[in-house]
Amino acid sequence: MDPILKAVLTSWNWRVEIILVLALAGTVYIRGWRHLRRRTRGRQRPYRPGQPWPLSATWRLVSYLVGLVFITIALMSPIDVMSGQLFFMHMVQHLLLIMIAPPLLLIANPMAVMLWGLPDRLRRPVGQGFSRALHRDSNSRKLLRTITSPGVVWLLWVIVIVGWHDPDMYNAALRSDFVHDIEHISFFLVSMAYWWHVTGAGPRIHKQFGLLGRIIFVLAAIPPNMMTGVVLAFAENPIYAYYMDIPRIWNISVMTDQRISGVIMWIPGSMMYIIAALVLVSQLLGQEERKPNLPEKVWASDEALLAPGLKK
Amino acid sequence: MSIKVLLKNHHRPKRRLLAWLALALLLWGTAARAAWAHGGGTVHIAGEVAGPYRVTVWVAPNEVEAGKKLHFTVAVVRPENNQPVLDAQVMVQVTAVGDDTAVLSGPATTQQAVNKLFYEADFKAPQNPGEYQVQTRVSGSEGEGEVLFVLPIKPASGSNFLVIGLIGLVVIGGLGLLLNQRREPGRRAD
Repeated sequence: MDPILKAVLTSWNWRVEIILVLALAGTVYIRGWRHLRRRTRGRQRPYRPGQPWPLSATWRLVSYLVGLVFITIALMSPIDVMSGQLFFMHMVQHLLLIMIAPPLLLIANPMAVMLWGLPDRLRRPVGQGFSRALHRDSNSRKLLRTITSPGVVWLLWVIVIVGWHDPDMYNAALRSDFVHDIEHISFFLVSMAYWWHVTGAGPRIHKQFGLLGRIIFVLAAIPPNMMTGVVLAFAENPIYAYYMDIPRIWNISVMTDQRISGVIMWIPGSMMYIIAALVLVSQLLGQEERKPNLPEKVWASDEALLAPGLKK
Repeated sequence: MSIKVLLKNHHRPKRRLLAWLALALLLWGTAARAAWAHGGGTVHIAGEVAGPYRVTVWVAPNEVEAGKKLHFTVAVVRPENNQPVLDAQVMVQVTAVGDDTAVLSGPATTQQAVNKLFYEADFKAPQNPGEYQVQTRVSGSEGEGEVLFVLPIKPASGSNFLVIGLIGLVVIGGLGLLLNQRREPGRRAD
């Protein structure tokens, strides 16, 4: 094997705080999922289109664990280590934290499952704490509803995504591990809030978005993301001075690296939202499909056959 | 008793808690070294010629404080193709400006590095603040060379209030939870 490739592949940044958090999140979810599985054993109805999937569905566990694996890859694999040397690696890392891991975690509906995964002694006080904090009349619920309303979340998301691409902010993140961690945490949290509205995961404290609303919300992420990618891809000079001082590998110049990063953010980055929108469109069409048929006298009249949709 | 057996024992919560703590410490032990040796920091030498090589040196943290951690990252490349050199010997030596006696000295290696394309070394910064000269000597099959730069070391600042605050919050949260649990049986009796 090429020694440089070997060196890259063996560059893992094992961070105890991340390992512990991910291990804890995984353990609690698995415990909760098994608990729910045991409770519903033999009583599960077969899935019918249009009905919500049970919390203990196998795909939810798989989705959650794959989401955790993507976070592990983003924060500890060579993608993280090389992100200080290659801008496009940094971009891939951000895509994993913003567009891949959050929806995978949220479609698993983690809050409810994880509550069931807590030890018995803890479940009661934590559950009571949540019900108090999220009670219909509580101030904390009102505050949370306001700061996580779809409009505010969209605005925060744009500020965070575009703001961290400011040269001073980005260079600061590359020069300081602490700032870099803040950058990743803010990307992840704001993306979780964004995908929360799209997936409809619990706790449901907002008025439930209809499928059409969700499609529009998902597509609203594309313009700011795409514009940032286009600016990076077509810039004529290096934007981030930090990479100019760092030795290059694989003969990838600073400008080529920057263009690749811009294209990654622009095309695969936007594709993720388009894929999500397509999934929602297919759900919307399925919903239409399940509506009861119109009585024949409504659609088979002469007027309706001659000019469908035209009302008298 | 093995950790596995302890974790399986559902009737002894204290032992289970101890086992989880032991597991956490074990994880900490294996991972802490790698976390300590993470790169980053400020570039002090950018692609300067050192004999047959070009060398880049950066230091973390960005502002080094007396008696606190001091981390060097060194990249060695061949000037003709800019490809990393992975089999060189790199030695870092820190001396007070105007005094040739080495205050700190040690090898930077790829084994200590998180990014295996670089050479890294960890030290504890000198106790006395002031200006220090850092000499990075690189030797390999193609020859040897060195680069020098001056590193200012600031007086040590006070405690890290952010960390203390976070630990305080965790402790208060834990105590609150404990008190809440103790109160719980009485409430049920009502």
